[in-house]
Amino acid sequence: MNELDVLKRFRDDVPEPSTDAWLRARAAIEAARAETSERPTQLGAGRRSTPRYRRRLVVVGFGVAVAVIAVGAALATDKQSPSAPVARSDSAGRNAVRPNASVVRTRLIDALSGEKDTIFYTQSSTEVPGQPTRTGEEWDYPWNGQPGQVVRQAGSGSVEGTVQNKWSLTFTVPAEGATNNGGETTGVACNVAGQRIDVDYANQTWQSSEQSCVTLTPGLDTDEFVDPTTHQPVSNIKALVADGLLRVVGYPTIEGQSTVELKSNTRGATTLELWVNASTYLPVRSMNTSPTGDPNPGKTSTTVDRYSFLSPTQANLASLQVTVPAGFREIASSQKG
Amino acid sequence: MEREDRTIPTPPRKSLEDPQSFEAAFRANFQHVHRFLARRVGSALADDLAAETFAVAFRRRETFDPSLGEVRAWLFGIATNLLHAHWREEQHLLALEARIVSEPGPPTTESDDEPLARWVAPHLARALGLLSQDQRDVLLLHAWADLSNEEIASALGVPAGTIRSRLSRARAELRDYLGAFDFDRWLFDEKSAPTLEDRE
Repeated sequence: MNELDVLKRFRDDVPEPSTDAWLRARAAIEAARAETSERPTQLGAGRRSTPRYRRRLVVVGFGVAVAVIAVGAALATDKQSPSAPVARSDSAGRNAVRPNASVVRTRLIDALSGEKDTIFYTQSSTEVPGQPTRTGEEWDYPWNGQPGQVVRQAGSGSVEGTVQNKWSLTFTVPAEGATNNGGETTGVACNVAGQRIDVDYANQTWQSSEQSCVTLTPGLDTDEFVDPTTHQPVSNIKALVADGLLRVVGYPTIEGQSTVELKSNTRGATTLELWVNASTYLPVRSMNTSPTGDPNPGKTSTTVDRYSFLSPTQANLASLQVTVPAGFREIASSQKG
Repeated sequence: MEREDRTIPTPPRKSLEDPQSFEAAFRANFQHVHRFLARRVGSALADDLAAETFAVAFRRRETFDPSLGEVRAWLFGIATNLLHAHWREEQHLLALEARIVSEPGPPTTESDDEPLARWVAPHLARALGLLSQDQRDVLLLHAWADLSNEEIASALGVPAGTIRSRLSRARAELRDYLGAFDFDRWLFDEKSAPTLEDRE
């Protein structure tokens, strides 16, 4: 007996592929075939014009269609949310292989983890009935900062198009395990010497401060979600996806991009819909709906975030600089977070 | 960096373009490909990856050249390439399995086959987790897919000499790790074993 003999026995008891696995594979092949507009493989070329062939074609075609529909239905309900930002049918992608939640989950996590030297740009808009629309922008560079790397973040908030505040934050990503609350898991790291500048346009003041707790994976915040199993808040979409709390609900095209639409599986009034690019699996847009509570009970707040991954050009990096307008008064610094 | 000792020619257009051949290849190989994937990343992900393997194979079927090897090897090559996107899941699974608490002690007789395999599994998981992706691919294609060096070379598009050296190194590393494991007495010296944590 040697190491190969031992290895051959390892995990030797995996189950055989289920009927569903066979059906799923056949559906994937059919989808690939449809891309190239070819005839079914099961049928011989020499019998193409006979009535019997045509009957078989109908039967096989029906069987394949049932399989595809069954598999498709099991994986996702291709429904369009009436409140989705843009939800027109993706005719170009109709025949493409449509990834299920498991594939989307792993690829989205890989995509989010894989983006390194890019600026993550978020443009958000929040609406509450009867209240002015609030918009915001945020730049984060680099997205997925590595331990020891300096990360810069900047953002602004506006009401009805009028800028209310701007801010910037610079910090060095702590070494793994150096923070007191497991940043990799929670997305938040504390004991960090973050330098923050806040500019208040309404009061024409500005303030510099130290911020000890920072968000390592900014944007995509999902604090209001509670994992029904662990009863812990879910800090960001990466965790939400990793925990299997998003399900695939459709494959719409948004602004010319084929996307996969995911919806939160969490209970309660708060919902999140996320659209990821069907090729890169990077997030394109999200829509977060939650009750406003006091002081506006019974109302629903809807926030739509649009995401872009920008190259770190000089022009783009300039967005990370917050300049204090002349004449603004500095107020005493403080420690935040 | 390993020296490439020969160039793999671009496969000419051949055989799987015939629809019946593809169907036959699917019927004959799906189970084996699925099983290989399930052993590496678990059954749930294997369902997706096996389906994707055959969808990719269908799209690229004109690039399959039977003169370079069996269709089985070609399919395992596609499956292995797809697995590369799931390195983290595979590592995670190995890490979990490596942490499984073993029986209080190894079975006392070699005829006691099943408990023996169960007892050694965490150690093997840890050992596999320490291998590089290239080494693990070659080792598992050899051990689990029963591919020869030439078939692995054809499947991965890598010269056979490179495959031989990768397999040799992978087996040596496995032996080094399991060196703490006495095959004759079925005892494992935990203290001399490296840990997986650095590779996760």
